[in-house]
Amino acid sequence: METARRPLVLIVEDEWLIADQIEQAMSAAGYDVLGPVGRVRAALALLAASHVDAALLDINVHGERSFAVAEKLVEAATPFIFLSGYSNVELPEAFSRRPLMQKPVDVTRLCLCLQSLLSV
Amino acid sequence: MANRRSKFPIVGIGASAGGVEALEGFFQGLPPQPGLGFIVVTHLSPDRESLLHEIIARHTDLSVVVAEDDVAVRPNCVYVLPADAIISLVGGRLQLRKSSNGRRERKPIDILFSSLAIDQGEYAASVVLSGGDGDGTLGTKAIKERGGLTLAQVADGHGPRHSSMPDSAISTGYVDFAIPAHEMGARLAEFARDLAEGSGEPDPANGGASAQAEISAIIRNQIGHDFGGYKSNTFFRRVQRRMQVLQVSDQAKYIERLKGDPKEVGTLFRDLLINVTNFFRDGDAFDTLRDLVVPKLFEGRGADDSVRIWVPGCATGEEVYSIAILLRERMDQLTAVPRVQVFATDIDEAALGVARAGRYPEALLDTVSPERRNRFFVLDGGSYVLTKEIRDLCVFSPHSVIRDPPFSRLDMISCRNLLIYFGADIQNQVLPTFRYALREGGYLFLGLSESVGKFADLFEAVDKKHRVFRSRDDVSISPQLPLSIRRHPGLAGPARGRRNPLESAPGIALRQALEFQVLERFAPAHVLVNRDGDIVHFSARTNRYLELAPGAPTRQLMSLARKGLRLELRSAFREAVETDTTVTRDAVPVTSEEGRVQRVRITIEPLLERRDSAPLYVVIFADDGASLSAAEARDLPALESGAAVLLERELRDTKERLQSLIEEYETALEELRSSNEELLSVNEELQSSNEELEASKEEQQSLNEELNTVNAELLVKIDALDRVNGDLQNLFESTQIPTVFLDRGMVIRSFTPSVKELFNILPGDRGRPLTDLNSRLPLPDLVEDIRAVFAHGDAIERDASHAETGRHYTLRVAPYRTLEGAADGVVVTFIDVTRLTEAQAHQQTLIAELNHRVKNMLMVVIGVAEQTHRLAATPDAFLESFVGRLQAMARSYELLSRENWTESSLEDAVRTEVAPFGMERVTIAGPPASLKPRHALSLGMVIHELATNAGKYGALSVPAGRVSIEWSLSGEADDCVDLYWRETHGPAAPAPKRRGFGLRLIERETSYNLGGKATVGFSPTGVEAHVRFSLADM
Repeated sequence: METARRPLVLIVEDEWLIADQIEQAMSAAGYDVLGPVGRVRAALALLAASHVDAALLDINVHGERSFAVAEKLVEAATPFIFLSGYSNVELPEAFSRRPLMQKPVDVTRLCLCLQSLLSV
Repeated sequence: MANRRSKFPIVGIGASAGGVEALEGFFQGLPPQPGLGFIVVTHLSPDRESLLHEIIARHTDLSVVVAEDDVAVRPNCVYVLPADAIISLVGGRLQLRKSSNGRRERKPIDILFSSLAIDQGEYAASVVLSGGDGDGTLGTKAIKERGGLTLAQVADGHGPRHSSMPDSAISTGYVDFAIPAHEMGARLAEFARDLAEGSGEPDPANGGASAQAEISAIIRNQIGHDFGGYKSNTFFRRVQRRMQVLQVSDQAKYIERLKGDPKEVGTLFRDLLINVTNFFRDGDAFDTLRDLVVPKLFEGRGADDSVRIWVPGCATGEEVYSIAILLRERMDQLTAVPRVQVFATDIDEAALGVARAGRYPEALLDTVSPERRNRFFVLDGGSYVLTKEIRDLCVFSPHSVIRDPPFSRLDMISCRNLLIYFGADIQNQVLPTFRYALREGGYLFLGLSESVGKFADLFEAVDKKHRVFRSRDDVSISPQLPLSIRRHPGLAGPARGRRNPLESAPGIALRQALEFQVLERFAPAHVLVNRDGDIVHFSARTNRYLELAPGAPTRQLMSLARKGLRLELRSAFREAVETDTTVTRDAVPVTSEEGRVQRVRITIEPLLERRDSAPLYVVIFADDGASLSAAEARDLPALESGAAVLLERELRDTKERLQSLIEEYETALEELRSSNEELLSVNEELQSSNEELEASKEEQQSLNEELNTVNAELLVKIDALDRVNGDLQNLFESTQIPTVFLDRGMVIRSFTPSVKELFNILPGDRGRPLTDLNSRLPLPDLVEDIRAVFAHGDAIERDASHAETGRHYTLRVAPYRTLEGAADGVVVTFIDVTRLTEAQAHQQTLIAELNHRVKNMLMVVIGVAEQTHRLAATPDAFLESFVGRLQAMARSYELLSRENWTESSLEDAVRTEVAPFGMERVTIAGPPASLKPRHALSLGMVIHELATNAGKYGALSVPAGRVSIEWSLSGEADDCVDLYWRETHGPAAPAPKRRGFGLRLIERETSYNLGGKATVGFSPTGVEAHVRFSLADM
């Protein structure tokens, strides 16, 4: 039986097929998934309603930057990983030290990265 | 020595201005194959290509070539001097040299002729044609001196156009033939023929020696100069030349001619006398002069004194300059150098012109030692020019020894080989003139075959062998000044004997003896005087009327006359000379030694026999009554009437006044003479100034021509510059590129008008430093950049943005290079790169977007593949669904790209997906609506899933099945779409056992990408689906 609560991960990704893919990978790796959501607005609503342990943020969601979500996460000291299809993406100064993974995402690496963030 | 057969004459031809015409005439007049070689020298500008050889070739059959170096001269060939070269002849081969420093050689003809003379001797011939200066004169002389033939052009109907060059050669007296150009050829051919036949050679078998003796005798008889010991070679060569000139073929005939023609004797005499005129001719004599005379000339002279030398008959100046060189050498050893003047005179202006130039071909300088050559000559082109220090010692002026008053107070007269040309009477006139001109103890330097003759009382020999004489200071002579006397004896009359005419007079001996005796015994005392009052002959018993005067011995009648006689004698003599009649004076009292007074009747009568030559006068003294004692004499006037006494006294007073007047007149005459001398030398100085002015005028003219040419070129360049400047001006005005030119001090040199957009700059700001101006661009490093460009010479580029207009510029600082390549400033250009910058940014965005899309697309494909795979029963089924989905995506993309990724129509999006199943079973209906690209894509995917499902399991799987697709718009902006998919007449659609991927895709695509909602129901007639979404972007 599982003694520990499974960590809750918020997934913000505007391409549902990718989101499904990541969601399945997360579930398989032992995480509970919040979302996935394809809108910044929806993500912020979810965050306000529940506590998450970590987040995976696609930077560009339906033409919007997900930095507003990132700010909230920083406030709550929640670790997160940026995902982006842009190779030359420039992060704002505040997030320049945050991890960033290029799409297409290698789910194995993504899990490893998330794990290390949560174990700190 | 070359084989005599191969020896042929070589003709040097010199021409200058107007020479082409003369050359044409010359070659036209030349007989075919004349057997001579020709070398043509003209005054050419060194930088002009000459076509002369072509011109000559048109007028002759001879081969005409441009002369080349070291080519042997061949007969019947014409060699033409190329431009920019000097030609001479050595060993029968042409020697060409480039003329130095690009200037035209001034005396190329002299250079050729003199080398020709030395190289070819009597086989040389010279031809001087039309020309404008004195070139060729020295060369002609050199050829003549060495036995060659000399010709010069004289005027005929046409030419010479410029006669000063041939005239100068003719005036030397060394030209054998002065004839028109077209007649020269025949003479030259004759000359060549004579030489080939050797007829000029003395032929002992043909009585050569006796012929020489005969000719010598004729000359001796007429002129008194004996050529008996002369070298017979030279003698006959000269005789031969005269025969040629006179066209006399036979020596005997020539001798006949000599006998009957005194003029020809004179001409032959002069030809025979011609000798090599050179510097330091007769070297020993000049050495004597240097050792014995020159030091004496400077003895006791200070810097304020002057040494005056006269060289009459200086000809072309070699003797003058030789003496000047001797003097200069001496002057170099002195501390206080007196002023030295060498007056060189000649009657021949042309020769003087040559002498004045002081320019001699090298060939004529062989007697000048190398030291003197280096010290006193400057090599200019092919000829040597005397240095200024020598030239300045010499004053040249036209002057006749016979006609013009002499110079005076001279220290030396050098008159070499001039007297031999004069007859005895001229010599008799000239030598006393020399004595007069010399100061006491002055030196006279004569030629080796000359002497002072009977004037040994005037000159004593210093060195007899070398003919150096010194004027005696113990004689006083009254000069025979030609100043007031305009009548002259002829120049070259035969010498008249100095013997008593009585002795030689043929006739009746008895009568002669009788007359002589009567004269001796009974004739009154008389003397014969010349017009100067010098006694030529004394009769017996003159002692009562004449007595020896104290002082130097003299023959002057007036000095010898006894007291009382002189006054009357002088006036009577003057009257006789002037009126040329007999003059008588009666009762002139003469006081004897004893004090007795004798009245004398004086009769002066011109000697009748002598009317045709220098007049002589007989002065006859006859006693008038008995001699009286002193007392009687004193009383004598008392015996006369009172009036007579008074008249006598008055007469005496008048005579005394006359005497003093005469003396005053003589003084004035003397003064006039010296003024005249001064005028002469002033005139000479003016003459040489004039020459210098002439020379500088020529230089100015050629300079002026050059300037004109340069000016014309400059005008063309200025025109070109104006055009280029205009182009540049237009470029500046029209260019939109702001450009500023700065000099090294960052001062604005110029700028294009568009700079005003960037700087507060006005046209008046040229000359101000750029740093003074406000820039609208932020350019903090501009000054450093400019310095760096100066330092390294490499262009620098910077980017800057205009704060107000938001435009972007690339600032380029490049070095401003002069035409020589030196950096003289900088050029600052501002290139507007706003559009470029924007395009670059846009491109960046596009690339990023593309990158993003591709990656997303790949992830989508991966997702589709995974999902399809999970639900597919067989690999074939997987492949079919997977490929079908990818194709649906591709179709949507196709649609979008066709619309350029702008909005596309909803109907199109739907139709594209259902079309593969046949439109006859499908109904599409709904109001027009535009879809955003992403919506179009998502909707396309949704319709694809529905259509695929219908094709497999639903209405489109059976022929009767029908599909209806309808939509409607609602909402405030008609932006809410409700789309219904209804299948009819198909097989009953069972609800799927588990949620398939297709259904999931429909739902998620709608919710995620369309931001809407999709519901799918399964009814017995087929699938029914409702998709609701907003057209507005989320």
